[in-house]
Amino acid sequence: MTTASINTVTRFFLVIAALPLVMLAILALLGARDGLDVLMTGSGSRPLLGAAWVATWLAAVIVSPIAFGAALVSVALQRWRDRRHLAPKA
Amino acid sequence: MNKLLQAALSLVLSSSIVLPTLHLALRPASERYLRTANGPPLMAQELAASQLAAWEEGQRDVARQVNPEWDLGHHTFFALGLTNLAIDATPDVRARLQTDVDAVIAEVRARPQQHFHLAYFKGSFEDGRGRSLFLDGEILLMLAARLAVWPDPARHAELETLAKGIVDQMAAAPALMGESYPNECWMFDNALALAALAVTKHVLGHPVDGADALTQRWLANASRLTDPHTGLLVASTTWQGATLDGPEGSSAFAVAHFLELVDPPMARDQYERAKQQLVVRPLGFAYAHEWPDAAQWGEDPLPARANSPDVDSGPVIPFVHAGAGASGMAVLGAAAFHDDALVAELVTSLELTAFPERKNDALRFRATNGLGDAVLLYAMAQGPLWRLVQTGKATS
Repeated sequence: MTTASINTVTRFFLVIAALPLVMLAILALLGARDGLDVLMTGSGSRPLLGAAWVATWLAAVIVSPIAFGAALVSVALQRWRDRRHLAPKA
Repeated sequence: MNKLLQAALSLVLSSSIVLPTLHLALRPASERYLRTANGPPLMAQELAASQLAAWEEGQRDVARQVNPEWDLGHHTFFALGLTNLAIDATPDVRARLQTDVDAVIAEVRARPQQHFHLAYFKGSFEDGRGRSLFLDGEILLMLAARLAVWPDPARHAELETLAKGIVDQMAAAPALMGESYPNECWMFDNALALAALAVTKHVLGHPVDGADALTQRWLANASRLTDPHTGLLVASTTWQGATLDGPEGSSAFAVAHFLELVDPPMARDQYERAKQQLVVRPLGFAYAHEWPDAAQWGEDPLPARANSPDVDSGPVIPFVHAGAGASGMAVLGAAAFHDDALVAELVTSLELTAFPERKNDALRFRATNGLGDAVLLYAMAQGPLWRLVQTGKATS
């Protein structure tokens, strides 16, 4: 695996980790949080935005930490592999 | 190691660390959701602060267009939550809460029956009195609770008249199940009415005429109202006692709580069964199903309205089948039966999915409505009133 491939995997996970957070920020600007009554009533004042907020929030809380953790693990895995390659052969 | 393998391994390792520990990041400190020697959980006080402010602004936030029953439930759980908080409160706070509880009761009593019912309330009741046990039971429980905490002998006759009406309605029914809609009798309402009669007995110092006999007959008849597949009381019946709705999470936990004042061993048994049948506890979180697993019915037909979300169940989240109403009521059940571990897991789920909004020591959940917040207030505040009725003492 090359240095470029490390970056690809790590970058992929970092993008996945950041994506829900960015979307959450955009939805917050659009005022989606005010449509949250969609959950209890099935309708709500802004049902689509409210539903989008719920889905994105759950992604941000669950997916983002996993993706961020995976990015860290992928870096660790690559370092471990690099050390094995660079170690002098007996 | 190719990229795909590296990505998969990274994902598995990260998930195996993050998923089992996610709840630790979301779980509040225990004094926020468990009663301490100093009084009710902080959440109870924060929820009360938010709801008192909303009440004073005239907000009722219960989406009456979706379900006017939520409006009554909101009033009742709000009043009962405040009543329980008042028992531990300082004299000045108690005085303020008395004013609020009286205002809540007065507002309910000023409305006609239809106001708190769905459109199909119109029609002929099997019982000639044509009264809704849903409405009358909740009024009786609120008034009895109010008089238990702020005694006023001048209102005893009023309380006794209300209670006698309920005794007569339930005693006249073939299955001892009073109607809330024409030929529709709800276990939630009947169990609540029995609890209200127990609080009334405490207030008056003697049972209402016929109430003790009714309670004994009802308990003796309870096996007829029990689903044989789960051992849980069914959620609704016809006036004759035929099952309409089988066991439901939005009913079972509250029913167990109400029965604590009527038959504590039966109440505990119902709670444990509801927990076993309905609660799911993944990775430090918890939620409740609205209906038990249909597989238990085997070849037998399911109750007529099983697995059909309605205004009582609230939304049911697909795939995991988490019921909003059932999960909210599970908080009440777990708190009432001192199941601290389950309360912690349910509260953690609230933090994840119900969007708590904290401002100036006031708390509301953005993903619920007025009823949901009032149920959570009552779940967190309950205890002192039941202890007062059971032991004559407010503190444990």
